[in-house]
Amino acid sequence: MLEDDPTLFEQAEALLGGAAVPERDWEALAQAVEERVATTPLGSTPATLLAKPFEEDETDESAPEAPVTQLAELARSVAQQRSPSDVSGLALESLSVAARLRAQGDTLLERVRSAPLRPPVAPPPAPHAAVGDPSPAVPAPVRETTAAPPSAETAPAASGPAPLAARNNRRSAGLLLAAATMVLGGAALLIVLRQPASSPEHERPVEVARPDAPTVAPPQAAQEAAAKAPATTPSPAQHAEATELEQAAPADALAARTPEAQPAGAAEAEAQRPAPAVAPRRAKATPRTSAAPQQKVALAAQPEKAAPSKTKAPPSEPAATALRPAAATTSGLPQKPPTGAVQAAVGSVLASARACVAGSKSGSNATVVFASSGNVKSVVVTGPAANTPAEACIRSALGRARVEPFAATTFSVNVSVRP
Amino acid sequence: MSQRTDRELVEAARAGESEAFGLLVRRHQKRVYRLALHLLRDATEAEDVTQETFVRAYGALDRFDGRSEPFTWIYRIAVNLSLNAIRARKPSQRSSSPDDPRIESLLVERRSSVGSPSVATEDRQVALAVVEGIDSLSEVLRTTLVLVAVDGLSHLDASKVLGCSEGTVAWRVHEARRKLREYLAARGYGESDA
Repeated sequence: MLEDDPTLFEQAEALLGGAAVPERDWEALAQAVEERVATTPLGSTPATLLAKPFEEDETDESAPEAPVTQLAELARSVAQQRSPSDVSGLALESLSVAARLRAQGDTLLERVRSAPLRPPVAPPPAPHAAVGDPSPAVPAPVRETTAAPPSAETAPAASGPAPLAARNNRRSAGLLLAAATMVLGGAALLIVLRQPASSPEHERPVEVARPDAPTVAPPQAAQEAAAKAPATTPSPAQHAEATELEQAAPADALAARTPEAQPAGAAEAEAQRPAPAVAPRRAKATPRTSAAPQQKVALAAQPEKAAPSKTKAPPSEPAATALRPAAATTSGLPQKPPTGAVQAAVGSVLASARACVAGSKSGSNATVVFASSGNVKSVVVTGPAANTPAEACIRSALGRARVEPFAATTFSVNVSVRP
Repeated sequence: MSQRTDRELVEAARAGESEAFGLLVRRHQKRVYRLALHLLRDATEAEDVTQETFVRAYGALDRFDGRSEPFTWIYRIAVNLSLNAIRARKPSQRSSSPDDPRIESLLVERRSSVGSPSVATEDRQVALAVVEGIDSLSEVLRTTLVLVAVDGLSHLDASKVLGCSEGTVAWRVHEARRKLREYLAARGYGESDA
């Protein structure tokens, strides 16, 4: 087949491979060089001539690049082009907008609390478009910070989406962040609650801001925190779950935000503990104060939605276990990269990989192993492309994927490379 | 006396032995010229670049760190000089013609084995289509293909010349061949193999 064989047809290959060196007066050429060299001082050659001719990731028109369809990818790409001062400025601006909207959110939550229970109403698509790819932008439980001012740990939440604002409008990005934070707050909290404690495969990295931190993070801290912010792009399944849970969230979220559920001093003590730096409020709720009953209320309010939730977290399960949040390390890194971030990373290079098997009748599989740094450690290609020139091509293409650093040693993902 | 290696010649040239660098020039100038010819498509320019390559290499001997082979290091200088020359050209100088010196280069080996004039004519047409197809490639793909397919460098050596990974070289060569094959097929070449 024409497309299956990457080599040229025989005649052309023979011509290419048999390119000869035309006859010249080589001795004269060499002597001319020697004459010039005699007057050439060492160190006279500019460094540009010794540099590599092309950048490693230099693209050309022949390398199809996947369009940036994920906001997370967009944000990351823009963030790489921003100076630190810009990022910190945007972070502060986003924080101020978020603080204002948080205050409005308290009023909204009061209204929700006082409203009678009704069947869930499908949320409008727009918030989900924003929620769909929060990536590092929206660590969900930021909402758990109640009315306390944002702390240093909240900085990632605010500084994360700043690059997005650079792409569009800084202010609107701040509003987007605040809105996404509020919308996701309750939903993501319940996602965390519904994670089976014994199933690390479903653990998701979640960061919780210290509710008692008194001041806004300084720009420097915001930058550092932004650098550590994990990508939390949810998968489509998580979207659905978030949508579902969001409808049952208000009562639970209110419980989480109730001041008596979390004394300020206790929260600080929790934050200083080396244990998982997630959801300290939930951990405090373990002694059956108010959080667990509130969850029951929330689930009971939406029986058709709550049923699957009960199967995941049986009522008989101890509250501390049932409410244990997604795993995160003491360093703040997620245990493993978020599914959405992995999908985005692989998706961004998949088109290049598919180009390697263009024309083939069947696809191949590749196992991409990410190191904890977020870089690809190895790529194993199986299927028809294995042991062919396409294998190295696929390895090279997929090897360019990158996710945020994570705590686990490695993380593997299987990729189907179809022509 | 056994032949000195490239590294030994470089060390000797650094130490001030002018004949050592002359040996290095004579050892590699033909291949450098062929590389420049296929990148530049002009014999005179290729000769100039070849000469300039060795002069520049001598001027940078103090910066040769020995991490790569001298010839890949010299090749990199040649590629950079060729690309500089190409980028300094006017657009009108970019088209191929039947007088393209690369065609003669491609046909030299074939001529000795082909006796029939009709076959020789066909070879010339194919060679012209090949160089036109190579010209249709991007700068990156064309340079990589010339290094590997025409000059015969291994992917490892080509990766050192270009400063990229072997995988990247493999992908570029694969992509260049695929595009070149499509180009030739669109012009009626190689269809019988399809």
